[in-house]
Amino acid sequence: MASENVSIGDGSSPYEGWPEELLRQPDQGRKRRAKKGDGEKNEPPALNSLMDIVTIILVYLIKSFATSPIDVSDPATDLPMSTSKEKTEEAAVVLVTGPIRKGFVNGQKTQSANTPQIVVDDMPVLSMGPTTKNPSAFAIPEAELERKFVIKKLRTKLKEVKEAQELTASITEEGGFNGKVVIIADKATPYSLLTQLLITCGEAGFGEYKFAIVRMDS
Amino acid sequence: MANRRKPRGEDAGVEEPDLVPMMNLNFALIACLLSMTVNVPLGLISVQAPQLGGGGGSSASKPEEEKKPKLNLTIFITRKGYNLAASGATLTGDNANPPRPGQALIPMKPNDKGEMDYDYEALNKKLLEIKKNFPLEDNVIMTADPEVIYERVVHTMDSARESADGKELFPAVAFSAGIVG
Repeated sequence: MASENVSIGDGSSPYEGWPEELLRQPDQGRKRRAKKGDGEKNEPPALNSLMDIVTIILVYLIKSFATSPIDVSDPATDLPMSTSKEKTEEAAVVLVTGPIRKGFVNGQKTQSANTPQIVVDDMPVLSMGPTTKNPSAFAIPEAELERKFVIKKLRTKLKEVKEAQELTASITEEGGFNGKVVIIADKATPYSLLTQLLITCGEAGFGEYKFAIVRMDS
Repeated sequence: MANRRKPRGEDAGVEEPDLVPMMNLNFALIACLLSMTVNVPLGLISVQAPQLGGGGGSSASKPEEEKKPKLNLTIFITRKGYNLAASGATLTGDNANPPRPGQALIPMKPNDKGEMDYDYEALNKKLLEIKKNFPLEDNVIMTADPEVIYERVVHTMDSARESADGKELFPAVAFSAGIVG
């Protein structure tokens, strides 16, 4: 052993520092580290756990998306808040958009004018606007009205929806026409239009009416 | 024979599949779903409506109930406030201070923003008084001026549904086609 011949601080001579034999060579450590690093670079990162988490999140999102029977993604529809605890359910949907369209441009909230529309199951049915007799943005042209309360185009469309539901039920032998209709209306919708919508739904054969709201309890 | 043995490293296990593209796809799907999902807790309010004809109608009343005298409680949402009527007569409220002709039973009052709004609390208290006298009655008819907005109609229905301490008042709301002039 080389170290046996080397005297280390035994007091016989002045201290001269660590002998060269015991010191690491200057390049030795760097080489070791470099070697270790090369090995890690080639191994792929362990993604299995992350993959599991991401898949669970994905399944949860798909499930919650599929079970939500009502979707209000129209930026021109602002729903009122209510203390009602009734939950959403599957039904035909009549949407009334509002006169203001909200949006985001460059991270800032924007508002622009919008022509209110009546939409049934994502299909626009009728545009509304001020008339000579009614200055409201939600006024329906008189030519589109029957007996002042029945909106003709809406009634036709709802009858189509009803027939489609009945046809689907006859093919699949499940469910059937349940007569339920959900009215998703902007909070600025006037009462006169609400009654016209309800009466038109009744004329088309729908008998259970529900208004969509944003629940206040959550 | 001994030379045909596989080296140790090859036999150790099957190579793991490259999960990075799958991860990318999953992240893209999550981003799409999140952008499509509206995180608004939606609910419903059931109402009954007058029908000019047709309609299945879910309000099948029993013959026994028909024999009982009905309250026919009606809330009028007017431009000036609320008026109440029951069994065909308009309620006049406090006998000491009856409302003047043309004045609402529950007039509008300024809200937190300083805007004139309906007095939902006073309506709630009034309906609670009526409920004490007619504990079995659940129905209320609602009618409003044509320009009264949906938001205020919904808040009125909330006031009619339950009291401040959670007691059920008149949860069955029927809309009336007869619009106050």
